[in-house]
Amino acid sequence: MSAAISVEHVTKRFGAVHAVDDVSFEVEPGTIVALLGPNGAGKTTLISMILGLSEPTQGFVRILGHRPRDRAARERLGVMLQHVTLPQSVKVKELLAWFRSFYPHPLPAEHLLQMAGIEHLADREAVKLSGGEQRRLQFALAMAGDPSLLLLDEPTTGMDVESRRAFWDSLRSFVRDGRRTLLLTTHHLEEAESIADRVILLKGGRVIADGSLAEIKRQAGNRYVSFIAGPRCTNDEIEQLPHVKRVRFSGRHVRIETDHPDDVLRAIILRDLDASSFEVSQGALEDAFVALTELEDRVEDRGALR
Amino acid sequence: MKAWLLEWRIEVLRNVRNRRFLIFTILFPVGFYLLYVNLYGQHAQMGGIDWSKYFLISMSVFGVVGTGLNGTAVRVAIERTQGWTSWMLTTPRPAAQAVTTKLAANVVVSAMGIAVMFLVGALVEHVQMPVGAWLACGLATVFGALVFTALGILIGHFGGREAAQILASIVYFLVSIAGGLWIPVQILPPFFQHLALWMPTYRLADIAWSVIGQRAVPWSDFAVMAAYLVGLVLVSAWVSTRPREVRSVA
Repeated sequence: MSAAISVEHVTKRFGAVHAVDDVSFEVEPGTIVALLGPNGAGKTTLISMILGLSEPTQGFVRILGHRPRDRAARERLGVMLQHVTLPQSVKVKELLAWFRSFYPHPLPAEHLLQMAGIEHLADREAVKLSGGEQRRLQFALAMAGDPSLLLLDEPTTGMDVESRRAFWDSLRSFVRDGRRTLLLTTHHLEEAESIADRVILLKGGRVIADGSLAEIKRQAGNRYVSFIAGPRCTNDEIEQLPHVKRVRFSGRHVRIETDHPDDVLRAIILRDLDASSFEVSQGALEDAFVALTELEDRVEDRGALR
Repeated sequence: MKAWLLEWRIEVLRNVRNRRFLIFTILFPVGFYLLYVNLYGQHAQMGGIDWSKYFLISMSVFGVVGTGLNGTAVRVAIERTQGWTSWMLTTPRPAAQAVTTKLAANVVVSAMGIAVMFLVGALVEHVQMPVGAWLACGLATVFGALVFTALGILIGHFGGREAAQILASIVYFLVSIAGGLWIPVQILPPFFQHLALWMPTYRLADIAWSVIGQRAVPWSDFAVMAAYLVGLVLVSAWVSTRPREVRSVA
């Protein structure tokens, strides 16, 4: 079985700028991949090449074993782009019928409306919906062809917390049958963490980390000791613990970043600090993201000095 | 084919629901027609025919120019610059479908506009013509309207929404005036009479004026219209379907 997405040594230059610089990866069918990176990392350029909207300067892309512009690929592809103005004077149900007509085996319209939670909006004019409702409509349209591969670029932009949660729930149930592959970008790292099997981290047009959530966090090397500080525990006592790299206080909750969590814990117990509810972790994806992108900056700085 | 018909129907509905349709296709031409016929009198003669018939054709053509240019150019510009066209490129929709459905939809919309104009002419200004003449004038104008729809699609490819709107309005007034739709060329200086011969607006109206005046339609009318029609439809189809480099996904 061929890879759902295969990107081989892809480079995209705009004049002298390398927007994407020799990127390679393969996405296995049935996986959920989050493509992350700071602004300007090349995510959007990479996605437009995967979609066949632009051609790589070097290298090539295959989706579902086809060239991205092949009809065979497009029949099995569902897409949500970042900024799309929906056509004027078209009702929601008409837009849905329009999209369904493109595909050989579309999903039933009622099913799509229900999945996006917009059954009550079927007769409304699409451009007059709120930003979040338009986004959910675009999700329904992306699903119209019962796609094997879904590419969602910042799908939750403009949604409120409630519809965002509903969106991820329906996406999860849609994808978790192992037949569909999902590649998404998002600025909400906790969302990526809650759904992705794999993270590809892009920076300056290159892949700087690629692996499962656990692997990414391990690569970042962050370890954290967290606890609840009691009333007798002072800030000085905490800062004088061994191997402390950074301390973050959020009310009574203390989180210490360290390379030696065991030693920190041992010291807290031996010094009898007023602390409870201990936890040792590798932190959230966000911590790994920050650590890895900053690490990359330092490597670049050193390179520039030489 | 089913998908094409569906999109065609949606394009017709989008036109009819749009405020611009009411303004440019119905209100402007009907309003000016009634105003000018009453200003000069129904039985004044122009180009060998009654003024009420002559100006009915002028304003019918003016209506299809408005339909083709104003609605279409802005819609195409928005779709092209605000993500819709990029999104469509990721679907299996055939590349030519967008342009062919728009052209075909405007045939329907132009026919509706012309039907309203002709009804106003017949019922309000008591214009009388043989059925054959009504049909010939109507059909010529409906198909001639394709020229202006193709021109509208082309203008929509020049820039964003604002640019398309301004450019479409300028072209709308220029081709209408230069084509003698506002002021008949017969009463204009010779320079304008020569200029009009190159305008699709004048040539289209002249086909209908000739039919009404029971003159033979000059072959040059057909030749100029056919050249504009083939040229503009081909160019607009080409700019709409050529593979393009989308620099950003938006």
